[in-house]
Amino acid sequence: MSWTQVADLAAAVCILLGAVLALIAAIGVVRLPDLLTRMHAATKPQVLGTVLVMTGVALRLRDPGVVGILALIVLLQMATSVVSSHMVGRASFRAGQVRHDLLVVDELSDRPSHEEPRGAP
Amino acid sequence: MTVVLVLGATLLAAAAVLLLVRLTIGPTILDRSVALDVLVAVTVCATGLYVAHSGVTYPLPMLVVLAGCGMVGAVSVARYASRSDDLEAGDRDDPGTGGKW
Amino acid sequence: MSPVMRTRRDGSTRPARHRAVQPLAVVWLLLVWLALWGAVTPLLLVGGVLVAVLVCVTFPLPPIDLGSSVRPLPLLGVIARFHLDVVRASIEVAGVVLRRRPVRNAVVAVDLETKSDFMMTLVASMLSLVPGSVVVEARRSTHTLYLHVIDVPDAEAADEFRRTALDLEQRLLRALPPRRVDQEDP
Repeated sequence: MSWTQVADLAAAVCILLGAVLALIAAIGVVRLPDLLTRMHAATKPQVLGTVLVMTGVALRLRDPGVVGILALIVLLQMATSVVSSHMVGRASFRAGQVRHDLLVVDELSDRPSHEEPRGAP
Repeated sequence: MTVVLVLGATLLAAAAVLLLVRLTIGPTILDRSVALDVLVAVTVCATGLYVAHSGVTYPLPMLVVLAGCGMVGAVSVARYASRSDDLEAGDRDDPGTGGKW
Repeated sequence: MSPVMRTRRDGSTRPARHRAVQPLAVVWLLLVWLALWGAVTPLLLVGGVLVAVLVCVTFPLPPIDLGSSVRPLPLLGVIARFHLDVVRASIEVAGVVLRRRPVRNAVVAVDLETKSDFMMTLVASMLSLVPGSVVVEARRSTHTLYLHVIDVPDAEAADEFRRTALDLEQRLLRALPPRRVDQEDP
């Protein structure tokens, strides 16, 4: 078994795992009961799924010039998914779309909030 | 390798269909934006599969743009959704009903 | 962390451009440039530096003061541990999705020990990148993060998650220990 075959095998495993993760996440997005819970499922292909598929692509192409751009894709995906998940989560919590019956502990609503101006960091 | 790629593409297609279901039924606009975000991630993965299959690398810069700009939709929707809800967020007494839109 | 503003004679303000070209940003932009081209040649290096400087001058950003020194070895440890966490949490969330039992969640407040915005941002980003926790609210005044955590059966598990988050912060603080000097001035 030569080096390229091993790399191909690893690439196949990575790509397949990434695709399975994406499918599970999609099932989660459809099945889970409320928005914030769905967002946890959504984080999965955005982070690990992309990393796995891009690793698979890098192993398959075996071209050093491509590795940089693949790393850039993964980094950008991570950096932006943080921003969007925080914005969506905050908006949904502020809009009162959280199923409070699913929460065991809710320290945000319990705590007296000294009013901070909107958009204050 | 081709078998694996076809299998992966099938899984991703199934994921995309499920996400489209959520995109269609999702009760609020935020649900839809989350589903759209995941759909972008699935698109990135699927294009990666195409690159692995064909060996051509020209779609990769497109993926960079997609990964970098996929958040714009979700962020602006979130901004808009919370803005429109701010007025009554203070005196809302029935949290958890959702489904305003 | 707003840009330094400079007031014009007519009273309007604009971000000051002094020291807009930061070496760290130029290096980062150069790396992105080289990654996009996928090769390293002298022409690309020169062109990359030119483009990076142009970007820095056109879109001036306030200089980022990390306020901390970097210890490479613990930092590598943090990154490795982060990857492990992502894999473990992904499997856990996948299990939650596929099982039939209904899921219970929690919103947990984590009072961070650090006073630096940079560290708070770092902790928040790493926690939201790990599947299973999303930052829903962050209070800068009290340095508190409010996280929505999936699959928390009882209050004890919520406390355990809080401990995990504080552990992560401690590890980050060890990897990027704060410099004592600039704690005082704002």
